[in-house]
Amino acid sequence: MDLFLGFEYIIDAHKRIFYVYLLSSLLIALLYLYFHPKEKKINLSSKLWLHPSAKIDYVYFFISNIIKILLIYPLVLSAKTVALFIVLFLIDTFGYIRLRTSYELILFLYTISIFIFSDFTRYLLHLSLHKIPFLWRFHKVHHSAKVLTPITFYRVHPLENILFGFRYALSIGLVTGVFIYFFGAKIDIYTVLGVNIFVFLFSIFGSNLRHSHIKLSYYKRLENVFVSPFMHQLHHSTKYHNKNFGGYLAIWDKIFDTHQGSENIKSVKFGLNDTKNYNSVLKLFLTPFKNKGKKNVT
Amino acid sequence: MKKVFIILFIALLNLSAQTNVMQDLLKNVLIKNTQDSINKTENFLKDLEENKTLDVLKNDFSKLLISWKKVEAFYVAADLNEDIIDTPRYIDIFHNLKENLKEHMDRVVDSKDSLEIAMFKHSYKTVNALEIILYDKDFTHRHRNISKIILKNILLRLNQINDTYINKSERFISEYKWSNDVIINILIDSSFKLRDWRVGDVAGLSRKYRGKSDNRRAEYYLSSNSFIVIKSILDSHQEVMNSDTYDFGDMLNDNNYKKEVILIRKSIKSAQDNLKYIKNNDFTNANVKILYKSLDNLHVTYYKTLVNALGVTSKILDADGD
Repeated sequence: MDLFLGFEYIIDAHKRIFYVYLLSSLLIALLYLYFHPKEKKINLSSKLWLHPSAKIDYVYFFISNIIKILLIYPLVLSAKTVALFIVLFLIDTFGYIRLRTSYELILFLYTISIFIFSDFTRYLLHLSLHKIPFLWRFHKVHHSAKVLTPITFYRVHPLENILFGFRYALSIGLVTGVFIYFFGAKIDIYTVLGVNIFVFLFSIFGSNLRHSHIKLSYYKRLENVFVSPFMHQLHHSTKYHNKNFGGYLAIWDKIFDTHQGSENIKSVKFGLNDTKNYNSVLKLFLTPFKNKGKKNVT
Repeated sequence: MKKVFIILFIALLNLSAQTNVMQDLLKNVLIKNTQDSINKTENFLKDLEENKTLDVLKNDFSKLLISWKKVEAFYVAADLNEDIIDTPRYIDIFHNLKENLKEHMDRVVDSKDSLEIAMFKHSYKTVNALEIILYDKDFTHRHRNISKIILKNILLRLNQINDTYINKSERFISEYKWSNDVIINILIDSSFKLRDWRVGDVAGLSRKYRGKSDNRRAEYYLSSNSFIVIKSILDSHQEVMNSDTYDFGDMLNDNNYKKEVILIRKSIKSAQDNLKYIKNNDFTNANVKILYKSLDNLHVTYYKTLVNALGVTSKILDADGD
């Protein structure tokens, strides 16, 4: 029952709204507001947290969770299946190889490879969701939020969930298969509470602020490497939605010329120009099937 | 509170079972097989010293191979002691030598140099060289002396392995996760070499030699010991995965790998059964295909167990919605 109600999201370190991440984000937000008192009004206002768009997010979170459990998870390919396929394919194609190196080095290489490759495939899929008209129809659901709260993270159409599930299975499976091919069973990952240490660190340092009105930005040079919360908020704006597709790392945006730093940007408007088709939970599910989306039209 | 105690108690029981399995593997598989191999080598040397007939020596050779292959198939000593990573190659050069060892050994036999000088390469002191010498057209006094030098080398190497298992095995017992990885790795490694090198390549079933069977590619073609060696390797897998006591297979079974363990045990049994129908060291026998299939299942299932054991791939992480 807890699973269906989504309570495990609060206690599972793999989830974005794990209570430790929420508390750390809250702490960072309070510190930010202490130094930016003018922004207290909007961030602490019930107009934000009880905005119709936010209310839709809350209800949508529970309903989409049930859909994920019943319809999506059983469909999604397992990363294990991909890893096994990859390792057997590599053996069959290139012969059997077993490299000997220190346990610690393998651990470090595997942890960082998983993180970087996974972040890169997230970037590619996110970019595709914006650039391919058919996929944009579904991704518009996420961008239709007029206000951002941590729960907006879950305002994602089930079809997009399926795509991200496959992306996860393929990217993690590919890296894992390659590492098993070279190092066999001696692969492991640096974790905190069972989560890749890099993902944990990024999560604890305010990833929930990405979907918020806390305009936390990094120094310009740091924003060339890491995506700051405000950079992601720019991505949710009507003006810069074709920028900042990155997850944790901004290097992909730099490489593919989709980077937009937050320097000198004061305020932005969130959502789509066309929002009437996304003003109910039912519409979030059905509109993508009705709309003939045009490329990058908001 | 009661629940916590029960969980702790089960965890302690589990840890104790894991330690017992590793201790049992060390004592009853690793050390036992290495010492058995040392005994076989010593007996062989003794028979050589006592000028026993060539038939006796050939029989000693087969016994040595059976015992050595169990050591080689489950060689975890390299992970315990980096100094002896290459030791198996100083005993056995199957698939590790590009030169024609027969031509080299003929030169050693025909050379006028002393054997200390003529046998300057490591490969001349291996079981493969010994097979060439024992199954040469003649078995002269020089052949006998060459055999002694080879066996002394093998004995030296086996003792190094034995010393490692006796004196450097602390990590194997105490670090369960590490020893678990080492065991899975060696089982995968051994099952691959068994499937591809020892069966597939000879029977023309591997990718490299598909459709081109050739009995001369067999590991011990000259002495016709190839199938007893295959059986010995399978027996070593059985010792680890399906022995009479609580073993590594049982441990995996109790850790939610029941399906995999059943398949592994079935594959070992099926391969062992098939061996009985293959006669005269003939890899063109129709049953070799079934044997190859069983070995393929064994190899793939080891990989499946490994992949399923990796917690890192089991969860769908939140990565949506950004």
